[in-house]
Amino acid sequence: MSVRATYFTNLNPARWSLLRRIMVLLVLGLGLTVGISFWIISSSLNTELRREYFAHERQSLENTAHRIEQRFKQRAQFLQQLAPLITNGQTLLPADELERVLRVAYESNLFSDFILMDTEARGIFDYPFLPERRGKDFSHRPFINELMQNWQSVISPPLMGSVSGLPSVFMAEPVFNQAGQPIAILVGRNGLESEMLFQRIRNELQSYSGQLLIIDPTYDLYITATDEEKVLQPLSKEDRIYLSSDELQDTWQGFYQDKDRKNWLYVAHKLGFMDWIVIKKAPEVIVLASIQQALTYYMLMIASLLIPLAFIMVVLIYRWLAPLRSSIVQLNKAVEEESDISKFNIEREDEIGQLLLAFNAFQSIRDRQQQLKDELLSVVSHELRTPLTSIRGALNILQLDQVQQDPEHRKKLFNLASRNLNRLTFLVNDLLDVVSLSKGMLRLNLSDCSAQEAILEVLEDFRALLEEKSLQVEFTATEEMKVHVDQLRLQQVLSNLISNAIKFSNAGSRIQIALTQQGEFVRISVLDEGEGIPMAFQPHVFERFTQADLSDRRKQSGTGLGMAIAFELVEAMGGHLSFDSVPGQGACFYVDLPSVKVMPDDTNKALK
Amino acid sequence: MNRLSLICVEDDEDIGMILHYALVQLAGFQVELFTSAEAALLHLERYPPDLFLLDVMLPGMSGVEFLTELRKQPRFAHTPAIFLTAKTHFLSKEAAQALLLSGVITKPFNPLTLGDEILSLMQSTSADAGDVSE
Repeated sequence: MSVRATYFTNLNPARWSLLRRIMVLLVLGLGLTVGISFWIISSSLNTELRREYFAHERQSLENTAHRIEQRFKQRAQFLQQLAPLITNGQTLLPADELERVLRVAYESNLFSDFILMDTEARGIFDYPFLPERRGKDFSHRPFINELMQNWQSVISPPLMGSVSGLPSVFMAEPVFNQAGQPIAILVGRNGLESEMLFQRIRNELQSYSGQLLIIDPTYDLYITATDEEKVLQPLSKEDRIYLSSDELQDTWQGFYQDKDRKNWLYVAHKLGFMDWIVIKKAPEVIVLASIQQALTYYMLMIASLLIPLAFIMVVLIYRWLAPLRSSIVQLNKAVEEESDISKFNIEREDEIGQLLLAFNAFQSIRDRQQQLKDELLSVVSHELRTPLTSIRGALNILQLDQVQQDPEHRKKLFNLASRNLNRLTFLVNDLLDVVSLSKGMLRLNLSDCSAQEAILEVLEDFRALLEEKSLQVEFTATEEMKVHVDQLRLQQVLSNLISNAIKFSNAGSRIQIALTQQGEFVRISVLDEGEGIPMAFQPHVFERFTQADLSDRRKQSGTGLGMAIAFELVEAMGGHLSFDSVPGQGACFYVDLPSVKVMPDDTNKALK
Repeated sequence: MNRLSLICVEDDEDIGMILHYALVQLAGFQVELFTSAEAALLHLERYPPDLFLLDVMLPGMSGVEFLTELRKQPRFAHTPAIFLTAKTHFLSKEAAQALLLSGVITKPFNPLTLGDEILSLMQSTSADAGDVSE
C-alpha cells in the first residue's frame, strides 16, 4: 500500500465520505458565490465608474480647452490691438516710446517677448531686450513668409525660438501706416515653457495621477505635457493613438493598454482655434481605485461571515451524520464477528433517523422470522419425533421372541407402527405443501368440476370415522354447481375441514355441510356443534404453527399446518376461506370458490 | 424387593401403549398411566409414587407446570421426576435444578432399555441428594 495509491483513491469522489463531499461542495459553492458576486458587482460598478469618469472628464476637458482657446484668442486680439499703438500714423514710434508701450504690454503677462521687424523681416526692436534679435533676418521662418504674402495675422506652429531657444508659439501681426501700407511686423512670443495656463492645468491634474497632453497633430509634436521632457518632442508611439482616431466629434474618449500592460482611460478634444488636440488621461487602476477598495471591504466582510458559517454548517452536518457513522461501525462489527446487532438508538426523526428506524423495524421482522423459524424447527422436530417414538418402540418390542410368538400382540404392534407411519407421511406432505405455498411454487391443475361430487367423495373417505363417533352428517345442495379449481386440492381442503369438524364434535352430534351460490362464488360451509374456537385463537387460526398453544395443538393431534395450508390453497385457487365461531357453540367454516356459470342448456345436456 | 411404582403422564395413546409394555411387561414396574396432568392430579392423594415420568407437551397443563405444582406440596417435594420428551431445550439448567429433576429421556426412546435408563438416572440423583442432605 503506497501513499500514492491512497492519494489517487482519494481523488475519486465516489469513494469520498458524505461529509467530505458536503465539505467540498460547500467550499466550492461558497467560493463560486463569492467569486461570481464579486465579478458581477465589480464589472457593473467598473462600467458605471468609467461612464462617470468619461462624463466628468469630457466636461472638464472642454472647459480646459475653452480656457486655452480663449487665452490664445485673447492674445491674438491683444496683439491686433497693440499693432496700431506703436505707430504715429506714418512711421513707428520713436524707440523710447516704443519701449514704454511694449513694457506696458509685456506687463499684461500675455506674451513672453515682443519682437518688431521691418517689412523685410529683419529685427529692429524687441522687448525684453536680447541683442542677437536686432538686425537678425527672420524671413526664413515660414510663418513670417506667410504673413509677408498676405499681410494678415498669422499664428505659428510650435517652434523653437531661434534666439531664445525655447519652445514657443509665435503670433505675428502686420503694422500698417494710415495709408494702409505695411511698415513693420509685430511678433509676440508665447513661451510654452513658461505658459502659466498649462502649468495650472498640469497642477490640477497631478492631484489624481492624471496626465495632460496637448499635441499638435500637424507637426507631430507635444505642445505641452505633464512630463515636461516631452514638450516639443515628437509624439511617442503610444500617444499616436489620438491621431488615428476617426472621431468626427470635437471630443472623444477611449482606453488603451500601454507597453507595460497598464490600462489608460483618456478623453481628447480638438481645439477649434489652434488645430491642437488636448488630452487628459489617467490609469484605469486609479480611476477604479475606490471600487477596488470597496470590493476588498466587501470580500473581507463576506469572508468573515461565510467562514464561520461554513464551519458551523460542517460541524452541524458532522453531528447530523453521527448516528449514521456509529451505525456503520456497529454493523461492520456485527458483520466481522458474525454476531447479532442491538437496535440502533434513534434521537432524531430526520432521514437518517427514519432509515435507522426502518432498519430496526426490518431487524424486528427478521428476528421474528428467525424466532418463527426456530419455533417451526422445534415444533417440526417434536411432531416428527412423536410418531417416530411409536414406530421405533413398536419395532423394538416386535424383536422380542415372546412377542413374535403372540400373533394378536404382534398384529396390534404392527397396526400401531403403520398408523404412526401414516401420520408421519401426512406430516411430511403437509410440510412440503407449506414450502411450495410459501415459495409460490405450488402447481395447480385447474379445471371445472362439480362441488357436490368433491364433497361426497371426501365424506365417503370419512364414513368409518363418522360411524365410530356416531356423528350425523347433513348435506344440502340447492342445485348443481361447478367450480373452477384443482379437484384434488379442493378435496384436501375439505378433508381438513371435515376431519377438524369430526375431531371437535362430541359423539352423537351433527355436522352440517351446505352448498350455496354467493354472487360469483360458490360457498361450501362446514358447521359443527363442537366446542368452538377460543376467541384468543381466532385471529391465528390460519397461521402456521402459531394459532394455538402447543398443548392445544396436541389435543387436535394435528400438525398445526392443515388450516394454514387449506387457507393458502383456497386463496391460490382464487377463493377465500373464512369462519364463524362462538366459543362453546361450534364453528362454521366457509370455502368460497370461483363458480363456473352453468348454462341451462349445458345442464340439460349433462343430465341427458 | 418392592416393585418400583411410577406415575406416568403421556397423552399420546400409542406411546402410552409402548410405555406400558416397556415399563410393566419388561421392567416389571408398577405403573399408573394418565393422559393428562389434570387427571393425574386427581389421583395423587391416594399414594405417593417412587417416581414421576412425565411428558412435557400435554393438553392443558404442561409437564413442567405439573411438576412445579407437585413441588409445592410437601409430600412430593422430593419425589424423583424424569421428563420424557420429544422437545429439546425446553428447560434451562437452573429451572431443572429448581424442579429437582432427576433427568430427561428424549423420544424416540428404546423401550427395551427404558427401565434400566430410569433406574440409573434415579440412582445417580439419589446419590447427589444424599450428599446434599448430609
